[in-house]
Amino acid sequence: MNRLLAWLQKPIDLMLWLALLAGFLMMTHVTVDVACRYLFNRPLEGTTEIVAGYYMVVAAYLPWAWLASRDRHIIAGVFQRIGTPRFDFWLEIAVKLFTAAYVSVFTYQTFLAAMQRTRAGEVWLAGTMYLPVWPSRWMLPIAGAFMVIYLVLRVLSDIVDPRRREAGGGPTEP
Amino acid sequence: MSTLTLSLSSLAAILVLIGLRVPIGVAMGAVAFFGFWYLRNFNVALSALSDTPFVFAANWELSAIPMFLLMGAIASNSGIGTALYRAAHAWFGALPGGLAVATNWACAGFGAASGSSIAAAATMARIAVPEMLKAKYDKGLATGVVASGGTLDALIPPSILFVIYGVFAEVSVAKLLIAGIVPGLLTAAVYMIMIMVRCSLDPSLAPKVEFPDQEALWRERWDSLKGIWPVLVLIIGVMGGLYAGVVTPTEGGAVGAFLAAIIGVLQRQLSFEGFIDALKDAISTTAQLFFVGIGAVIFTRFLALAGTADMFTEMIGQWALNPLLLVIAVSIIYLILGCFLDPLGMILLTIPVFVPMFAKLNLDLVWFGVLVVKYIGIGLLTPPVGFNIYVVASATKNEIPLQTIFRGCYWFLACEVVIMTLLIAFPQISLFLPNLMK
Repeated sequence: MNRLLAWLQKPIDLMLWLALLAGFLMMTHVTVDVACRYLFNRPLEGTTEIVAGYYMVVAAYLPWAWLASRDRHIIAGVFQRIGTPRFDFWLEIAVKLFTAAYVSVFTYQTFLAAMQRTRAGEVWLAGTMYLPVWPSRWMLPIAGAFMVIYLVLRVLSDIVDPRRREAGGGPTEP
Repeated sequence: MSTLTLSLSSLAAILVLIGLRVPIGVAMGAVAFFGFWYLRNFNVALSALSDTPFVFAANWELSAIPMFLLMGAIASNSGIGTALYRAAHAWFGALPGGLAVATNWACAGFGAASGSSIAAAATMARIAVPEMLKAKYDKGLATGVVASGGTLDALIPPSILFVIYGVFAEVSVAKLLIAGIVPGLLTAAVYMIMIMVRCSLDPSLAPKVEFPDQEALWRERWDSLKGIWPVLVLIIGVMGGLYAGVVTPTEGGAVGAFLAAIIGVLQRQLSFEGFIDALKDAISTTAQLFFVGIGAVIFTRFLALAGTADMFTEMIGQWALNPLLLVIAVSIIYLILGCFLDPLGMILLTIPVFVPMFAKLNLDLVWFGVLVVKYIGIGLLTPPVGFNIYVVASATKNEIPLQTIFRGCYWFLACEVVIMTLLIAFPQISLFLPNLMK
């Protein structure tokens, strides 16, 4: 199980790096656009649409599984557990399964939407050109699917591995 | 089920789930999902998650968030915190409680480069608290000023909370960012006066730091500015650009981040690893925000379908003649929520309920935005869940007990009573600058 989790970490890390690249491109693209607008009076065409339709979607969704692997999704962490360690452990498992169920619905629904938009060949009008945005639609189900797979494997690993169970099932990555 | 029961039980369900440590985004999204199912049917509930997540993220206005975060993270990794503290120390160190006053203004300066209160408190705690403790400052004062000063960050642009509020409340983000400047500076000024008065009355709180060589002091003052002037010029440039409407918030953030990176490299303060860390910090925080944000958008839709805002507006109908009562009632709710919820949860949970009420009563939503962000700042300091307190405790390696830090913040919370009274009584403090914008 741990080997599976370690294997899964590779695409999860890759998705994070793609998101970092999107963040870097967003900064550079917008800066170049502003510079072109004020220095040469010729803004880059379609910057707004490219930032919104590509960079933002990649940056906002692809790191989800990475966040889950580090237990970094926002929780009200200051609510201290008051039950026994055993109760806390099983509550944590229930919370992870509940989260996985929610993200599964998200994944399935965004997958259907992506299929539909791909078939329709969704484009946005950006200046004088048409920007195909249907590929961006796929970022959501991909991000969601990896998060669900990670959470399910993590739950199985926590239950099966007594050491992780005793440790309270912390993040698999520091 | 009546609208009132449905609305209140959905809010209660979210709070219970959050209490069970369910991620806040899941708590809001799942409750909204079951709400749609109850009000309409299962298919409607499913479709709430179909198109909304993409449309929510593919948004030009929200792209200011990663850019502001990146600008702050790059400035932070370029050592701007240390440079600001050095300058503030040289210029304010000789005043009563000088190091605390310096920390306060360094926090304000840091706020102008970064958009997150928690980042400001963590950075300044590592830099300033050891210095103050070395000078035998009272531990409560030393940690209290860092925790409280960190909240300035949310008010002084760039501010992530204003971007989120602006998008959800459909108010100009640029106006909100500019509206935060004067209340932010007012807060810092009131803090400074309180620190100076307290330390003058009780010098044991902050033993005076002597500067025997005046010539050396002035040399240090000018020297210290060398490290910060490029970033100060950059910050003023970004704010000026926003104010004049020359750049949008996203453009200001992107150009700010780009130039902050260039300055960091030229000053030999920013390494490649530092830049990658800054990117990682900014993008992972963005993804965290969107995970919660989607839950909040769906919950907002559910409340709209349930007719919650209309119901609350009708309920407070008789108060409408006196908006002050409404503001006070909302203030009390924020103070209570601030004791338990994190900033993002608080803003996303309350905007869908309160903003339509304020809009119907024709109260200024920019002014309300400033009040909301102030209350969120106060919530970062109030027990039992004062996030900045925990951040400061962890940044100082838990060597100072939580009670001491909370005790140190009480004086700053007392200042907040004065500041909030002023902001509520004189909306012009918040609205003067944005009303001058085109």
